[in-house]
Amino acid sequence: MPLQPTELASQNTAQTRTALANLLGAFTGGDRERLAACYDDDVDWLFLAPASVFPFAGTRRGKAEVFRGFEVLFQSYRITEYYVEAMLVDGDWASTYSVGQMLQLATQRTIRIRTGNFYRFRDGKVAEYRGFTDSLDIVEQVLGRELDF
Amino acid sequence: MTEATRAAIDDIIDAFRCGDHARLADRYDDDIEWQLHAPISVFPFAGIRRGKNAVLASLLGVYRDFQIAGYDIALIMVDGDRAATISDVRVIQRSTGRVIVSHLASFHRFRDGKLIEYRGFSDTFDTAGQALGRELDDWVPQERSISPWMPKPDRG
Repeated sequence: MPLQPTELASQNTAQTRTALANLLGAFTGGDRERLAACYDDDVDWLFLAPASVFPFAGTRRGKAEVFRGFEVLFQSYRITEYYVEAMLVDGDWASTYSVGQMLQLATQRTIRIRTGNFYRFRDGKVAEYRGFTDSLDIVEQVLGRELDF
Repeated sequence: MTEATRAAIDDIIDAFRCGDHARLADRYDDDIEWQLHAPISVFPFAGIRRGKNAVLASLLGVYRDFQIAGYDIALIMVDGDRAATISDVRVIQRSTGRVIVSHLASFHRFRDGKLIEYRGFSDTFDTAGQALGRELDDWVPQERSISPWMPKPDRG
């Protein structure tokens, strides 16, 4: 007997929850190979922040481009703390509200960041990502001063 | 619980779109903790608010400074007592007539059908620039604006 729509949705949600846990484990564990395996080759990725300050931000299409962005991130920063304060899963989509700290390697400044993350999974891999942060606050932390506008 | 949360978030979105302050007030818990991650120097209604009265006063600040010209939900997710949304927001700054567009990510937690916790994010570097009518990239030192693998943004 075929699954009913509500059962299908529930099954998708369970699969998405597992995929999200795997993704977060790979990220917090710093396991780049495992992290790469969590992304679809054709992932549509967008982190809403100025690329003029954060070269890894903006729109990225495809796993290779996303991971080139991650490499730039890891060249300039070391993630020293990351935890998920809230997590939601609904069908193919998952979302996290996360809190983290990064060490800016060039200045040894600690950057405190909160992010809102939205992931759509396809066959257990991230096919779409949208990331949000208070980008002006992060820019000011990175520059080490408030913008005087 | 998920279905009750879905009904609550749908009602809040509709009330916000309609500017129905009384209905919004009814959906907020007296002990709500509300935080819009944005600079209060540019958006005075942003920051942390605790309690229904403080949140409603903040929302009145939004309506005082901006006319809501569009509020479209691009994504809505519900899980237990939590809901998250991405909305496409279009507002008109009353003092200048500037149109400001942004994507807003919102995280909600409900208790007994009422909103007890809210966290909101937008790309504030971009939205503050729109509100101020300036290109904030001009405030960023040039040596930081060059990445080894990305062209310098074309500012026209």
